[in-house]
Amino acid sequence: MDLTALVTGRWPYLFTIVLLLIGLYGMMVKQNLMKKVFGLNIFQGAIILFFIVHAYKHGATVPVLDDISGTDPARYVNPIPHGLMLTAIVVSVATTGVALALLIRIYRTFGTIDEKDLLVRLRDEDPQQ
Amino acid sequence: MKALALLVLGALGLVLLAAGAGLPLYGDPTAPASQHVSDDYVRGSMVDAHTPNVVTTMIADYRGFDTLGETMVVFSAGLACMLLLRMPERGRIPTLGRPKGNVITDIVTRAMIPVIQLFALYVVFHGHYSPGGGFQGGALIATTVLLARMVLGFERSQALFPTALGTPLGLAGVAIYAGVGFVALLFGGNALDYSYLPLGLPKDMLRNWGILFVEIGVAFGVMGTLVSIFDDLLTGGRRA
Repeated sequence: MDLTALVTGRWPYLFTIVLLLIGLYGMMVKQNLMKKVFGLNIFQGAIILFFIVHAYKHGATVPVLDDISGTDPARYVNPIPHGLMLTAIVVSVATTGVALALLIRIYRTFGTIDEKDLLVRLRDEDPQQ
Repeated sequence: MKALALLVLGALGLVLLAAGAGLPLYGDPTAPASQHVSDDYVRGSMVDAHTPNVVTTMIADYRGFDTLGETMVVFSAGLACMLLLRMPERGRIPTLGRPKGNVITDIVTRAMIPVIQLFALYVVFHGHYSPGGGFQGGALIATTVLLARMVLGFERSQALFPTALGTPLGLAGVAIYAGVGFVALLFGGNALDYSYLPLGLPKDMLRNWGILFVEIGVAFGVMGTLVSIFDDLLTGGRRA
């Protein structure tokens, strides 16, 4: 593995990788479903930052055309990842809302959102009922 | 269990590092993602749609169909919350929706709400010329309602924005967006090709106006849906 190639010219990707792993860790290890949703949000943050890092160009400005830079594409950061992530953020807010609604439903039905307790209560419940 | 998870994450991290070494250099203007279509968007934005903000042109015009889908995803999420939580019986509003009341927070909130809303309108309508647009503006207006819900209380803030209005407003937003696309279809263009809107303007100005209509639709959709989701979560779906 060429670690020097990663550290010298591509160091921002390291942070997105770390963030992605933190989010995934939360989703895999934490027993509280609420914390799993937090993990999911951190994971989404990592993906969003990954796209934004991709869009960056050295010496470029925001993709709003001005008279000084004209229409030279090298003078503006790539607009496509910014647009995609703009919608992704709003969609992630909405999907987080659905996740929280599901949590409220789970709590209402089983009285807990802890994974271990939840599995016990699911097992105790009569499937024929 | 925890050790296994750490092992899997370590292996995944190594794979990601190995893959990361093959990514284009940070800030490289010749990276593959910054070629072809993105350059065309930067060159064409002013010519095609008379809009300096390339992100706005891209979201609402070049990839308008994609954004219509996104708006519908947001609205569907609001519907999903409603179907999951709402129930017919009346009940007590949870503590978060019944603040004790404090003169300072009340007055500051009520003074700030119109200012934030004015800024939100600026963000929506100035989205062609500065960073902004329907998503951001809609989310900003929604935050004012959320602020009122949390500081002034669920019942007092109904006068600002009734809970029953959230979902219809979200639907209206999606309908405005899809409606603009459909009008273009009726007048002989492709769906969402705003240059066929019957307004009697040059093609680039028509697309400029089409973007504005669509952004207003997005703002309504995002605002109504976010408030609807928040209200469902706050009340647990009970009627006040």
